[in-house]
Amino acid sequence: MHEPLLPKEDQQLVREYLAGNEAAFAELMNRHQNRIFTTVFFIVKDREMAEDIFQEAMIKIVRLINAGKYDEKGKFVSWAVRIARNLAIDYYRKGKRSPQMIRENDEYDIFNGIGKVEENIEERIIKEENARYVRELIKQIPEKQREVLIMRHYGGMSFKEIADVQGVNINTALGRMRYALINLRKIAGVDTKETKNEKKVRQK
Amino acid sequence: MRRKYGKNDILRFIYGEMEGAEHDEFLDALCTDEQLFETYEQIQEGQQQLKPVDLAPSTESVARIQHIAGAAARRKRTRTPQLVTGKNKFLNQHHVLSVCMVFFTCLTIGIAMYIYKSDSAPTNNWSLSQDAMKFENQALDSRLDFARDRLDGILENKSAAPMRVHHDTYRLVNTDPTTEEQNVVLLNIK
Repeated sequence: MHEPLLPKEDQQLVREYLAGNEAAFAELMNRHQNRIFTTVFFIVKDREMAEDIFQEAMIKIVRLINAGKYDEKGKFVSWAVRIARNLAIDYYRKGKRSPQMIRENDEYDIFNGIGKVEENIEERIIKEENARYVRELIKQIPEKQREVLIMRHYGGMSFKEIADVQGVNINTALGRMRYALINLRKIAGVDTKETKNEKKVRQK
Repeated sequence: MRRKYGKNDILRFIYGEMEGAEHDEFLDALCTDEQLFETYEQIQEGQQQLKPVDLAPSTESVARIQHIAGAAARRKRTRTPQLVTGKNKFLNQHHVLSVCMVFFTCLTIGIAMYIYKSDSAPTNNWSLSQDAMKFENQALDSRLDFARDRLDGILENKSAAPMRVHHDTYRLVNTDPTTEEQNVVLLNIK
């Protein structure tokens, strides 16, 4: 009896793409596009801008792979998320498109343009509500904490990788994540009693 | 000795960055350390607020990126391919390599032959000076002087029977690579 074929590793797909197999890149994208896109979306909080940055990031990834600049030592997805995150931060810093332009309107459909026809309406609504809820929630925590939270929770980067990206030690990255989650709990009103110590944490 | 776990370790535990023995040890610590467990609960409650969000980029974006990636892959394929796949066998990589090797081998042999010829060719330049016959090649001078003296002796003593030229000198003249006419001229001068 034949054993089921194991899915190819990301590194193997990159090698195949480098050898000229375009389907290998399509498979890589299919695996990681949502994670990369979600990360970008939570950083810029704007669908249209996220689309632009996502495209730019992916094209940069293609270029770097073809130039032989992808280092197989690390995880592909972490590398890709890092590139996307850097571009998103650059957009922010250069003020190409002001973050003030973020639509605060609840009616704004963040799924606008998504062509997943196979997804049913109910699933779509749940996803939309979740995304909107999280977006509103994380908007209220300090930027550094938010960044760690997005990269770890939605981008799937390790704390070590996040620490490298932010140029801090791993304990600082872990601390930021801890404060971020405790703040989220407060904001969500899980516990209405706030001790003095917790107030301090919220302000850090 | 048992390690003391701090609040930051809770994050590594929650996000699966602890392995094997450390993971088990941390679980034990959660059971025994009340304060650690309390913080763990708070953090977990915060984490639960982060509902699963899996946003997808638009199909247009994905199509555009895949088009660009595909074009790059196709460019790669067409750059080397006819050499590798043998679609155009004339340009097969091995053939090109063989032709290059043959060319360089011939070139090396040619250069070697040229150097050998120029090295082995006689370099003595015979010439006539105004006062007397002189050879530019100083190494030959003494032997040629000797031969000339002997010839002078023969010419001065015409009545005597011609003397045989010293065999070395004779041979030297004969084996000299200059043409026969030049040798004749050389001998007729005196």
